[in-house]
Amino acid sequence: MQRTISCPYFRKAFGWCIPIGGLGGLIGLGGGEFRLPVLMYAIGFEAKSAVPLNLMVSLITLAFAMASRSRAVSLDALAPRLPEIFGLAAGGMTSAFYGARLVHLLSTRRLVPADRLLASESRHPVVARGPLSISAFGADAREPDGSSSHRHRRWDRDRPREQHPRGGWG
Amino acid sequence: MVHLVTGIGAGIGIGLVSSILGVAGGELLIPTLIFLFGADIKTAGSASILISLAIVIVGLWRYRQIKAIPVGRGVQRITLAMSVGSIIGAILGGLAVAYAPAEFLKSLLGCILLVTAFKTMTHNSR
Repeated sequence: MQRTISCPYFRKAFGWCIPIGGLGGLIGLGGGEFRLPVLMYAIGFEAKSAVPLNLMVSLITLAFAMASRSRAVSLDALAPRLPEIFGLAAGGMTSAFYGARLVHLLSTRRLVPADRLLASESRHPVVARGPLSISAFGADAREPDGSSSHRHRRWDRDRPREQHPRGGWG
Repeated sequence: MVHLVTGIGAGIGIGLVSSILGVAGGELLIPTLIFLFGADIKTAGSASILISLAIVIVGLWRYRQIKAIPVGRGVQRITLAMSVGSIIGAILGGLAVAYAPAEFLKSLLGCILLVTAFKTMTHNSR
Protein backbone atom coordinates (compact mmCIF):
# COMPACT_ATOMS: atom_id res chain seq x y z
CA MET A 1 0.00 0.00 0.00
CA GLN A 2 2.83 2.34 0.97
CA ARG A 3 4.59 1.50 -2.27
CA THR A 4 1.47 2.07 -4.28
CA ILE A 5 0.88 5.50 -2.76
CA SER A 6 4.47 6.58 -3.32
CA CYS A 7 4.34 5.50 -6.96
CA PRO A 8 4.53 8.68 -9.09
CA TYR A 9 2.03 7.36 -11.64
CA PHE A 10 -0.46 6.61 -8.91
CA ARG A 11 -0.08 10.12 -7.49
CA LYS A 12 -0.33 11.73 -10.91
CA ALA A 13 -3.44 9.73 -11.72
CA PHE A 14 -5.01 10.62 -8.38
CA GLY A 15 -3.94 14.26 -8.32
CA TRP A 16 -5.02 15.15 -11.83
CA CYS A 17 -8.39 13.49 -11.50
CA ILE A 18 -9.52 15.63 -8.55
CA PRO A 19 -9.69 18.94 -10.49
CA ILE A 20 -10.88 17.17 -13.64
CA GLY A 21 -13.65 15.44 -11.70
CA GLY A 22 -14.46 18.76 -10.03
CA LEU A 23 -14.92 20.48 -13.38
CA GLY A 24 -16.97 17.53 -14.51
CA GLY A 25 -19.28 17.74 -11.52
CA LEU A 26 -19.55 21.51 -11.70
CA ILE A 27 -20.37 21.82 -15.39
CA GLY A 28 -21.71 18.37 -16.21
CA LEU A 29 -18.97 16.71 -18.20
CA GLY A 30 -17.28 13.37 -17.91
CA GLY A 31 -13.94 15.15 -18.20
CA GLY A 32 -12.63 12.70 -20.78
CA GLU A 33 -10.83 15.33 -22.88
CA PHE A 34 -8.63 16.24 -19.97
CA ARG A 35 -8.12 12.77 -18.61
CA LEU A 36 -7.00 11.30 -21.92
CA PRO A 37 -3.77 13.38 -22.06
CA VAL A 38 -3.03 12.40 -18.45
CA LEU A 39 -3.46 8.72 -19.31
CA MET A 40 -1.45 8.95 -22.51
CA TYR A 41 1.32 11.47 -21.80
CA ALA A 42 1.68 11.59 -18.01
CA ILE A 43 1.23 7.86 -17.43
CA GLY A 44 2.06 6.50 -20.87
CA PHE A 45 -0.84 4.34 -21.95
CA GLU A 46 -1.33 3.67 -25.64
CA ALA A 47 -4.40 5.24 -27.22
CA LYS A 48 -5.97 1.82 -27.58
CA SER A 49 -5.89 1.17 -23.81
CA ALA A 50 -6.35 4.77 -22.74
CA VAL A 51 -9.72 5.21 -24.43
CA PRO A 52 -11.56 2.35 -22.65
CA LEU A 53 -9.88 3.19 -19.33
CA ASN A 54 -10.88 6.80 -19.75
CA LEU A 55 -14.47 5.73 -20.34
CA MET A 56 -14.42 3.65 -17.16
CA VAL A 57 -13.29 6.62 -15.09
CA SER A 58 -15.79 8.83 -16.93
CA LEU A 59 -18.58 6.48 -15.88
CA ILE A 60 -17.54 6.73 -12.23
CA THR A 61 -17.14 10.52 -12.42
CA LEU A 62 -20.55 10.94 -14.05
CA ALA A 63 -22.31 8.65 -11.58
CA PHE A 64 -20.95 10.51 -8.56
CA ALA A 65 -21.43 13.91 -10.17
CA MET A 66 -25.09 13.06 -10.79
CA ALA A 67 -25.56 11.83 -7.23
CA SER A 68 -24.13 14.96 -5.62
CA ARG A 69 -25.78 17.26 -8.16
CA SER A 70 -29.20 15.83 -7.38
CA ARG A 71 -28.69 16.97 -3.79
CA ALA A 72 -27.41 20.39 -4.75
CA VAL A 73 -29.98 21.41 -7.36
CA SER A 74 -33.51 20.30 -8.09
CA LEU A 75 -33.85 17.97 -11.04
CA ASP A 76 -37.46 19.02 -11.72
CA ALA A 77 -36.26 21.28 -14.54
CA LEU A 78 -35.28 18.15 -16.44
CA ALA A 79 -38.88 16.92 -16.80
CA PRO A 80 -39.90 19.20 -19.72
CA ARG A 81 -36.59 18.36 -21.41
CA LEU A 82 -37.18 14.63 -21.47
CA PRO A 83 -37.85 14.36 -25.25
CA GLU A 84 -34.51 15.86 -26.21
CA ILE A 85 -32.71 13.98 -23.43
CA PHE A 86 -34.12 10.69 -24.73
CA GLY A 87 -33.35 11.69 -28.32
CA LEU A 88 -29.73 12.67 -27.61
CA ALA A 89 -29.22 9.56 -25.48
CA ALA A 90 -30.68 7.29 -28.16
CA GLY A 91 -28.61 8.87 -30.94
CA GLY A 92 -25.46 8.91 -28.84
CA MET A 93 -25.92 5.28 -27.76
CA THR A 94 -26.32 4.23 -31.39
CA SER A 95 -23.09 5.97 -32.35
CA ALA A 96 -21.26 4.66 -29.30
CA PHE A 97 -22.35 1.14 -30.24
CA TYR A 98 -20.59 1.35 -33.60
CA GLY A 99 -17.98 3.90 -32.56
CA ALA A 100 -16.19 1.58 -30.12
CA ARG A 101 -15.62 -0.93 -32.90
CA LEU A 102 -14.52 1.84 -35.26
CA VAL A 103 -11.99 3.23 -32.80
CA HIS A 104 -10.62 -0.21 -32.14
CA LEU A 105 -10.26 -0.89 -35.88
CA LEU A 106 -8.63 2.48 -36.53
CA SER A 107 -6.14 2.13 -33.70
CA THR A 108 -5.27 -1.39 -34.85
CA ARG A 109 -4.80 -0.24 -38.43
CA ARG A 110 -2.04 2.09 -37.30
CA LEU A 111 0.14 -0.99 -37.21
CA VAL A 112 -0.01 -1.26 -40.99
CA PRO A 113 2.80 1.17 -41.96
CA ALA A 114 5.36 -0.45 -39.66
CA ASP A 115 4.29 -3.79 -40.97
CA ARG A 116 4.74 -2.79 -44.61
CA LEU A 117 8.13 -1.35 -43.80
CA LEU A 118 9.26 -4.66 -42.36
CA ALA A 119 7.87 -6.56 -45.32
CA SER A 120 9.72 -4.36 -47.81
CA GLU A 121 12.93 -4.57 -45.78
CA SER A 122 12.84 -8.33 -45.86
CA ARG A 123 12.68 -8.20 -49.67
CA HIS A 124 15.83 -6.11 -49.72
CA PRO A 125 18.68 -8.54 -50.51
CA VAL A 126 21.06 -7.38 -47.80
CA VAL A 127 18.44 -7.17 -45.13
CA ALA A 128 16.82 -10.42 -46.13
CA ARG A 129 19.99 -12.53 -46.19
CA GLY A 130 22.42 -10.60 -44.06
CA PRO A 131 22.75 -10.54 -40.30
CA LEU A 132 20.02 -7.90 -40.19
CA SER A 133 17.55 -10.33 -41.66
CA ILE A 134 14.33 -10.30 -39.74
CA SER A 135 14.63 -14.06 -39.30
CA ALA A 136 17.78 -13.35 -37.33
CA PHE A 137 15.52 -11.90 -34.63
CA GLY A 138 13.63 -15.14 -34.49
CA ALA A 139 10.46 -13.50 -35.66
CA ASP A 140 10.27 -14.97 -39.11
CA ALA A 141 10.07 -18.26 -40.90
CA ARG A 142 10.65 -18.77 -44.59
CA GLU A 143 8.09 -20.46 -46.76
CA PRO A 144 9.36 -23.34 -48.92
CA ASP A 145 9.31 -21.08 -51.99
CA GLY A 146 11.60 -18.61 -50.27
CA SER A 147 9.00 -15.91 -49.80
CA SER A 148 8.58 -14.37 -46.42
CA SER A 149 5.52 -15.16 -44.41
CA HIS A 150 6.61 -12.57 -41.92
CA ARG A 151 4.05 -10.04 -42.88
CA HIS A 152 1.09 -12.28 -42.27
CA ARG A 153 2.45 -13.80 -39.14
CA ARG A 154 3.17 -10.50 -37.57
CA TRP A 155 -0.16 -9.14 -38.66
CA ASP A 156 -1.97 -12.05 -37.07
CA ARG A 157 0.01 -11.88 -33.89
CA ASP A 158 -0.57 -8.18 -33.47
CA ARG A 159 -4.28 -8.36 -33.81
CA PRO A 160 -5.61 -11.45 -32.14
CA ARG A 161 -8.53 -9.39 -30.95
CA GLU A 162 -9.62 -8.87 -34.50
CA GLN A 163 -10.81 -12.46 -34.48
CA HIS A 164 -14.03 -11.50 -32.83
CA PRO A 165 -16.31 -14.55 -32.63
CA ARG A 166 -19.31 -12.65 -33.87
CA GLY A 167 -17.31 -10.83 -36.51
CA GLY A 168 -18.18 -7.74 -38.46
CA TRP A 169 -19.74 -4.73 -36.98
CA GLY A 170 -22.71 -6.26 -35.30
CA MET B 1 -41.78 15.00 -31.10
CA VAL B 2 -39.69 17.52 -33.03
CA HIS B 3 -37.36 17.69 -30.04
CA LEU B 4 -37.05 13.91 -29.96
CA VAL B 5 -36.16 13.65 -33.65
CA THR B 6 -33.75 16.61 -33.56
CA GLY B 7 -32.23 15.09 -30.44
CA ILE B 8 -31.67 11.73 -32.12
CA GLY B 9 -30.00 13.40 -35.10
CA ALA B 10 -27.75 15.57 -32.94
CA GLY B 11 -27.05 12.60 -30.67
CA ILE B 12 -25.81 10.44 -33.54
CA GLY B 13 -23.42 13.16 -34.65
CA ILE B 14 -22.17 13.91 -31.15
CA GLY B 15 -21.84 10.23 -30.32
CA LEU B 16 -19.77 9.61 -33.44
CA VAL B 17 -17.38 12.49 -32.82
CA SER B 18 -17.04 11.79 -29.12
CA SER B 19 -16.52 8.06 -29.50
CA ILE B 20 -13.79 8.67 -32.08
CA LEU B 21 -12.12 11.11 -29.68
CA GLY B 22 -12.67 8.59 -26.89
CA VAL B 23 -14.69 10.81 -24.59
CA ALA B 24 -18.25 10.97 -23.26
CA GLY B 25 -19.24 14.06 -25.23
CA GLY B 26 -20.37 16.49 -22.54
CA GLU B 27 -18.49 19.32 -24.27
CA LEU B 28 -20.75 18.92 -27.29
CA LEU B 29 -23.92 17.95 -25.44
CA ILE B 30 -24.09 21.03 -23.21
CA PRO B 31 -23.82 23.60 -26.04
CA THR B 32 -26.38 21.59 -28.03
CA LEU B 33 -28.79 21.63 -25.09
CA ILE B 34 -28.26 25.34 -24.55
CA PHE B 35 -28.32 26.64 -28.12
CA LEU B 36 -30.52 24.10 -29.89
CA PHE B 37 -33.03 23.38 -27.14
CA GLY B 38 -32.75 26.53 -25.05
CA ALA B 39 -31.91 24.94 -21.70
CA ASP B 40 -30.19 26.93 -18.92
CA ILE B 41 -26.67 25.89 -18.04
CA LYS B 42 -27.45 23.98 -14.84
CA THR B 43 -30.27 21.98 -16.42
CA ALA B 44 -28.07 21.38 -19.47
CA GLY B 45 -25.32 20.10 -17.19
CA SER B 46 -27.59 17.64 -15.39
CA ALA B 47 -29.09 16.48 -18.70
CA SER B 48 -25.61 16.12 -20.18
CA ILE B 49 -24.56 13.89 -17.28
CA LEU B 50 -27.58 11.63 -17.77
CA ILE B 51 -27.01 11.38 -21.54
CA SER B 52 -23.26 10.85 -21.11
CA LEU B 53 -23.95 8.05 -18.63
CA ALA B 54 -26.05 6.23 -21.21
CA ILE B 55 -23.43 6.76 -23.93
CA VAL B 56 -20.52 5.70 -21.71
CA ILE B 57 -22.29 2.54 -20.57
CA VAL B 58 -22.93 1.48 -24.18
CA GLY B 59 -19.35 2.34 -25.16
CA LEU B 60 -17.89 0.32 -22.29
CA TRP B 61 -20.16 -2.60 -23.00
CA ARG B 62 -18.97 -2.62 -26.60
CA TYR B 63 -15.30 -2.37 -25.59
CA ARG B 64 -15.87 -5.29 -23.26
CA GLN B 65 -17.44 -7.28 -26.08
CA ILE B 66 -14.46 -6.78 -28.38
CA LYS B 67 -12.14 -7.44 -25.41
CA ALA B 68 -10.45 -4.04 -25.74
CA ILE B 69 -10.48 -3.19 -22.02
CA PRO B 70 -6.94 -3.58 -20.71
CA VAL B 71 -6.40 -5.84 -17.70
CA GLY B 72 -3.66 -6.30 -15.13
CA ARG B 73 -2.69 -5.14 -11.68
CA GLY B 74 -0.95 -1.97 -12.80
CA VAL B 75 -3.94 -0.92 -14.87
CA GLN B 76 -6.26 -1.73 -11.97
CA ARG B 77 -4.26 0.41 -9.56
CA ILE B 78 -4.10 3.38 -11.91
CA THR B 79 -7.82 3.07 -12.57
CA LEU B 80 -8.47 2.89 -8.85
CA ALA B 81 -6.37 5.99 -8.23
CA MET B 82 -8.13 7.89 -10.98
CA SER B 83 -11.52 6.75 -9.75
CA VAL B 84 -10.91 7.85 -6.17
CA GLY B 85 -9.62 11.23 -7.35
CA SER B 86 -12.56 11.63 -9.69
CA ILE B 87 -15.09 10.69 -7.02
CA ILE B 88 -13.71 13.33 -4.65
CA GLY B 89 -13.69 15.93 -7.41
CA ALA B 90 -17.09 15.03 -8.81
CA ILE B 91 -18.81 15.15 -5.41
CA LEU B 92 -17.27 18.53 -4.56
CA GLY B 93 -18.04 19.89 -8.02
CA GLY B 94 -21.59 18.59 -7.95
CA LEU B 95 -22.27 20.15 -4.55
CA ALA B 96 -20.73 23.44 -5.67
CA VAL B 97 -23.32 23.78 -8.44
CA ALA B 98 -25.82 25.03 -5.85
CA TYR B 99 -23.60 28.03 -5.04
CA ALA B 100 -22.06 28.75 -8.43
CA PRO B 101 -23.71 31.57 -10.41
CA ALA B 102 -24.88 30.59 -13.90
CA GLU B 103 -22.71 33.28 -15.51
CA PHE B 104 -19.59 31.84 -13.90
CA LEU B 105 -20.48 28.34 -15.13
CA LYS B 106 -21.03 29.67 -18.63
CA SER B 107 -17.63 31.39 -18.70
CA LEU B 108 -16.00 28.26 -17.32
CA LEU B 109 -17.64 26.15 -20.02
CA GLY B 110 -16.50 28.65 -22.64
CA CYS B 111 -12.91 28.41 -21.41
CA ILE B 112 -13.07 24.61 -21.40
CA LEU B 113 -14.40 24.56 -24.95
CA LEU B 114 -11.67 26.92 -26.13
CA VAL B 115 -8.95 24.88 -24.44
CA THR B 116 -10.39 21.64 -25.85
CA ALA B 117 -10.63 23.10 -29.35
CA PHE B 118 -7.07 24.38 -29.18
CA LYS B 119 -5.81 21.08 -27.84
CA THR B 120 -7.59 19.06 -30.54
CA MET B 121 -6.26 21.38 -33.23
CA THR B 122 -2.63 21.24 -32.11
CA HIS B 123 -2.82 17.54 -31.40
CA ASN B 124 -4.01 16.73 -34.93
CA SER B 125 -1.28 18.74 -36.58
CA ARG B 126 1.43 16.78 -34.80
